[in-house]
Amino acid sequence: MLQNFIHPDYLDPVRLKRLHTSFLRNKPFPYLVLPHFFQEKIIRDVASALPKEPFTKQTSDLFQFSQTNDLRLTKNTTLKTFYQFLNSKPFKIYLETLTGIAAFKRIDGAGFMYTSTDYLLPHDDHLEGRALAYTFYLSKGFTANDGGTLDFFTKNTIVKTIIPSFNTLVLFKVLPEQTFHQVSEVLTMKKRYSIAGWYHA
Amino acid sequence: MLNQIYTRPAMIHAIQQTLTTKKSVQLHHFLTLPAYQTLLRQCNSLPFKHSYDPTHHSYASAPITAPTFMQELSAFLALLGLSAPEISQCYQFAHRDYILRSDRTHEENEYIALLELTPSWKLTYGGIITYLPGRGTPTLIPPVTNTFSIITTTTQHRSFVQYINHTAKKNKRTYIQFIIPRNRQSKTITL
Repeated sequence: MLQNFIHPDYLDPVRLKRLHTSFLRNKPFPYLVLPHFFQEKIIRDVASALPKEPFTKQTSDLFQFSQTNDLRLTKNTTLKTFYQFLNSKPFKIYLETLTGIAAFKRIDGAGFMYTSTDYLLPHDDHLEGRALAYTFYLSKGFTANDGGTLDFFTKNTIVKTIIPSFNTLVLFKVLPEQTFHQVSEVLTMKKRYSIAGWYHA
Repeated sequence: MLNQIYTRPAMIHAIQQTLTTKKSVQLHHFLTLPAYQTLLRQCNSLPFKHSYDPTHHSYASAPITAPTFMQELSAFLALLGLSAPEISQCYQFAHRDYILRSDRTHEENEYIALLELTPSWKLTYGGIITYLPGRGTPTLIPPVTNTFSIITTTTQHRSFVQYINHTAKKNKRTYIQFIIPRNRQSKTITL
């Protein structure tokens, strides 16, 4: 099952062990950035299906972006299959191998679209049960100048910036009062699509 | 100098009525144009200090002492039956600035007043101030030049300032915030 979705490079046990070590060592908190993670055909189909989902604009003091319903409710077969994979036991075991986090309870997962002036201000993601945050990017051509970066903080300083590159999976451990991160404001008219959520333990 | 229309008894009464029923009031063209321009100049020359705490706020502020204006404002507030402001602080919000909703509580029947000095602003820039009561309708304070807003607070009140986006370019939202303590002689506003 895993080989149907994940790029073969990420199934090599030696590489998985190295990635696990990186996850634990990365600062300011445990995280991984995995470029070219999914099989090309799978991610192309998902990237093509997601923009057709209904998005709702969400605004609060903390954020401004557009979001789909939780993808477990989608009627699109490509997205449903993909969501079922994210929620499958083999993939959760795989994530445990990568991160050491056993998160086998429910998952949250929704599609997000950020366009010009959208943002998500710094927060730690902590809510009861959230153990592992994930996000992967479905838009091509984003550069640092476009904004929409995922930034990690130590106190008042951004110490890690991740450009939302197509088919890159980001994982990080959710730790209260530690895993402060933001999505910087999108500064261009490009649309930044992603699927993101949490694995619960 | 204050726009004299706001010192007329009938207007004072109307402001008090609005504050009592709606818990907030906004007074446009609050200062005469020369007085507004003088105060704006004074504010812009203040030694602003930027404060950044990512999970709470990003803005610049400076204490303001404008004795003539403060005297006139206190006299006007006295006509409304309100105390003189205890704290007066000038704030400037530029691109990337915001205040997140915090758990800081206000005093019951305390008042917050804002004097908007921003010369021009588009709502699409962001920067709108929102006061959320425990129950009821939020009060939104968009930047309208030379507008004086008074908001009655309760212990349930929370507030935030919407993030200012890149379309604001070099524009800054500038306002003076006053904290007006509860009038201890009279808990209700009466003429």
